[in-house]
Amino acid sequence: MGLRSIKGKGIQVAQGADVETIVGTYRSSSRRKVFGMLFFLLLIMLASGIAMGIGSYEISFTGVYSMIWEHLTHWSDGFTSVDMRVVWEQRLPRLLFAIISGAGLAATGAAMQSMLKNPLADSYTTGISSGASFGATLAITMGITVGGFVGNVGIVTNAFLFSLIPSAVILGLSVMKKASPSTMILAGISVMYIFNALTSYMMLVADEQSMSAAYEWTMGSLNKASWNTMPIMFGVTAVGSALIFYMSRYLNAMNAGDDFAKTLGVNVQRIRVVLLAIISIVAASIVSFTGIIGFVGLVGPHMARIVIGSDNKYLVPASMLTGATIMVVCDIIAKAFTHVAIPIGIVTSLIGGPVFLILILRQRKEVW
Amino acid sequence: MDLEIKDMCFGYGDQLVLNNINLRVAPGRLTCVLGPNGVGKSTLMYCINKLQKPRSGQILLDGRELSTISLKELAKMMSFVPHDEDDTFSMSVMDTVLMGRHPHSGFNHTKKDYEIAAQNIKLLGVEDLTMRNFDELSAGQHQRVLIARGLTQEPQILMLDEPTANLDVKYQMLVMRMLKDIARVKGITVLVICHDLNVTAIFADDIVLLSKGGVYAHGSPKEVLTEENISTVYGVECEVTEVEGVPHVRLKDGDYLDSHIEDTVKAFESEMDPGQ
Repeated sequence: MGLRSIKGKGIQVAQGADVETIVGTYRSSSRRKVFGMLFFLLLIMLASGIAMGIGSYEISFTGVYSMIWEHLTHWSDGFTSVDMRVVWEQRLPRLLFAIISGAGLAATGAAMQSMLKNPLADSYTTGISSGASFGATLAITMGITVGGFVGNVGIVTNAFLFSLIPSAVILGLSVMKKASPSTMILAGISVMYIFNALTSYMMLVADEQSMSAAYEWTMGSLNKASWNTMPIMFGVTAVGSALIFYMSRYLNAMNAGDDFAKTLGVNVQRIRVVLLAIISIVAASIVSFTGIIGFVGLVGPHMARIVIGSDNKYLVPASMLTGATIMVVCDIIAKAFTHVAIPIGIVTSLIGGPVFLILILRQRKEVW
Repeated sequence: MDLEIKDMCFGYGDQLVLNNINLRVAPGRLTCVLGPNGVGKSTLMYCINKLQKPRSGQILLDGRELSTISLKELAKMMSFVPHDEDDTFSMSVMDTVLMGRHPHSGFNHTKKDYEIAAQNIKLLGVEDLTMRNFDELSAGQHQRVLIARGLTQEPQILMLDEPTANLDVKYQMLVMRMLKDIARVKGITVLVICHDLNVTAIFADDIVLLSKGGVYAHGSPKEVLTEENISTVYGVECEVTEVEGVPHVRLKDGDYLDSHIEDTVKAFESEMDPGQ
C-alpha cells in the first residue's frame, strides 16, 4: 500500500453499488487514514531516538530510551550517570521543543489555510512571526520591554505580545469591515511589511553585538529549550490544537466558502474570530520561545494533505505529526552534518524547500 | 413547508434589484423561477436563505418571520444548492456530501448520517465517484454531487440555483424529474432557478416569471409560458404550441435580433477605427 492510497486514491466504488458498500468503503478509507497517522507517529519515535543520540558525544538509540525509562521509573534515585543527566536535561527538552513547535505550527497552519481559503496562509503570511521578531529585536537592541522585564523573560514577553498585534489588526478588520479571507491575508502581509521595516531599522542602528544577537533570534533555534519554559509552550499548544481539532468541521464548511458555510448554519464571522484568536496565541507562544522557524507551518499541512486528504478532522492531527516529523528530522540533520550549531530555522527551509518541490512534481495533478 | 414573501424589496447600494415581491410557494410542488439574466433570481434565493437581508417586507416560513429564525435553525429546514463551487482544498465526494449533515450532527457522524449521504449519492447516480476528489470531476458531476449534498441536509425547503446548467439532456430530464418526485413524495417545497423554457414547461408544477425586479407572472406552465409573456420579458419572438398538454416554445431567429447585431457590429467597427 503506497502512501497515496491512504486517502482513498485508487479505491473505487462500482456504479450501482449498494448503500452498505458505499458506507463500508468510505469508512475503511477513514480507518486507513488513522493507520497512516500511526505510521508517522512511529517515524517520530524512531527519529527522536536518533536525534537524542546525536550531540557532543554519541549515545545509542536504545540507550537513550532506556535511560529515559529508567529515570521515569526510578525518579527518586536521581541521575545515576552523566549520560542520563545529559539526555534528561539537554537532549529531551530540545527534542520536545522540536516536537511541540513543529506540531503546533503545523496545526495552526492547517487551520489558517482552510479558514482563509488560501494554500499560502501560515503564521508568516499573517504577520505573527514578524510581530514576534519586532518585539524580540526591540528588547535585544533597544532594551525596551513591555512590563520592564529584563533578559530572556523580557525578550519572550515582548515577542509574544507583539506577535499578537497583526492578528488583532486582522481581527479588527474582519469585525468592522466584514473583510473577505483575501483581504485578511493582505492586511496581515501589510502589517508584516511594517514590522519588518521597523525591525530592519533597529538592526541598522544597533551595535554589533546586539545586532548579531537579534539576528540569531530571528533565525529560530531549539537552543533555548529547557524544562522551565516547557509547560507554557506545551499547555498552550495542547489546548489550542485540541480546540482547532474540535472545530475541524467548521473549517471544512468554511473551506467550501463563507456563503455555503452560512447555509449550513455556521456563524462564519464568529467562528473565524475565535479560530484566529486561538491560532495566534498558539503560534505566538511557540515563536516567542523558538524564534522564527519557517516552512513547518506552511508545508507540514501540505505534506499531510498529500497523504491524508483535506478533511480537517484528519488533516489537523496529521499535520501535527508531519510538522513534528519535519522538525525532528531537521534537527538530526542540523546536528549530524554540521559542526557549528546551525539554527534549525535555516535547516527546515533549506531541506524542506527541495523536498516539498519534489513532492509537488511527483503529483499527477494538483492535490488541493 | 409553506414559503410566503410579502412586499419584499432588496437592493445593492442605490440600485434596487427586487421591488415589491409578493409570492407564495406551496409545499409538495416543483416551483421554477424563470427570468432574464440579472433580473434577481439568485438574489431572491439569497434573501430567502438569509445570505442577504431584504430592505423591507416579510419572508414567512409556515407563518414564522425569517428574521426570528437563527442561521443554525434555518439550516435544519432549508438547503441551498449553488450553481457550482470552488473549494480551495477539495475533499472526496463522500466527504463533500456528508457536509450536508452538519446542521444535524455533532463532531462525529452517526451511522444514519453515512446512510443518508450514501442514499443520496446513489439517487444522483454518482456512487462510482464516492472516493474521488471533488476537484477531479466535470462540471456536470459537480452539480450532481452538490444536489446530493443539498438533499443530505434533509430540508423542508430545497432551493437550487440552475441545477441543470451543466448537465447533458438526459441528466437535465432526470434531475428535474427527480426534484418533482422529491417534492411530491416528501411533501417539501422545491424552488429551482431554470433557463430552459421547454424543460421547465415539462416538469414544473408552477412557474414564477420575474421581470424588472418584480414577479411578472406566477402560475401553471400553460398560464405563464405564453408568446406574449415571453416576448415581453425576454425580448425574443417565439411561437408557443401545445404538445400533449404541455406548452412548447419555439424561438424565432428574426428581425428583432438584427438591429441588436447591427449596433454591436457598428460599435465594434468604430472601436477598431476611431478616425471614422
